[in-house]
Amino acid sequence: MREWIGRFLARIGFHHPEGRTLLRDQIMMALVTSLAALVLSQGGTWGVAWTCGAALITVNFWWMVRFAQGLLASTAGAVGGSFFRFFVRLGITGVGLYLMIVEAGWPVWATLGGMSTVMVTILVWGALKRAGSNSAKEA
Amino acid sequence: MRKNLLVVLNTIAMLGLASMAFAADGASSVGPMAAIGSAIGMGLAALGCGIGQGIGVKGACEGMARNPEIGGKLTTTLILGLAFIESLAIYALVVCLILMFVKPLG
Repeated sequence: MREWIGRFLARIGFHHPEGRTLLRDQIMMALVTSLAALVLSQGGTWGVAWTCGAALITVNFWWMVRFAQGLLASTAGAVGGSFFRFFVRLGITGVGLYLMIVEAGWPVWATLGGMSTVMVTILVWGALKRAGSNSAKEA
Repeated sequence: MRKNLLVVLNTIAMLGLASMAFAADGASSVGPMAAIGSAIGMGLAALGCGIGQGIGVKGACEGMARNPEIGGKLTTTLILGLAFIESLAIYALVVCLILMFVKPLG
């Protein structure tokens, strides 16, 4: 599954290896935690809120990885499009949060838990990388 | 400077008092203090987030210009930095939405 997602991301333009790895791990983390939340809540409100929060932040992260890898490699003509996409992404995140918290009235802690999956992914990825570099130095 | 500050503070006070007066009729669904607090909070969050992201991107671009070979590592650091900084703004937005619409303080 991880390899398939990695190949898919490479095919659709995520050419930066570490960014692709981060995004792949975030997709896996969102899928696993959302499935666990849905099963534990038996399809209840907080499970759906967790899933939607994780989906929203994964889409957000997806666009941010694209933005960052394009920002350092783009020519002057591509900057306008990048900034347009950046603000569209922010708008979608804001509207999504409004719909989840205000309109649907889902539990905020579950939404925030789903949105925090990206933090967990980055922290785990950083810790694993640090552990790997330390062991390499010791060796 | 002092005059501008006084104008801003007076405007905020007038808006707050007017909304409170209308709230007595049940006309307003969002409390005036919650709206002002949310606006100030979101503004501060956006300010800090903007400064932080700007400094991050500036550093990445400068590093890339000085040493283009290190661009790959810089991109990773940039992604992580942007994600961490932006998550703070998103959390601030959630708090503002809670303050305005969920009304935990009544």
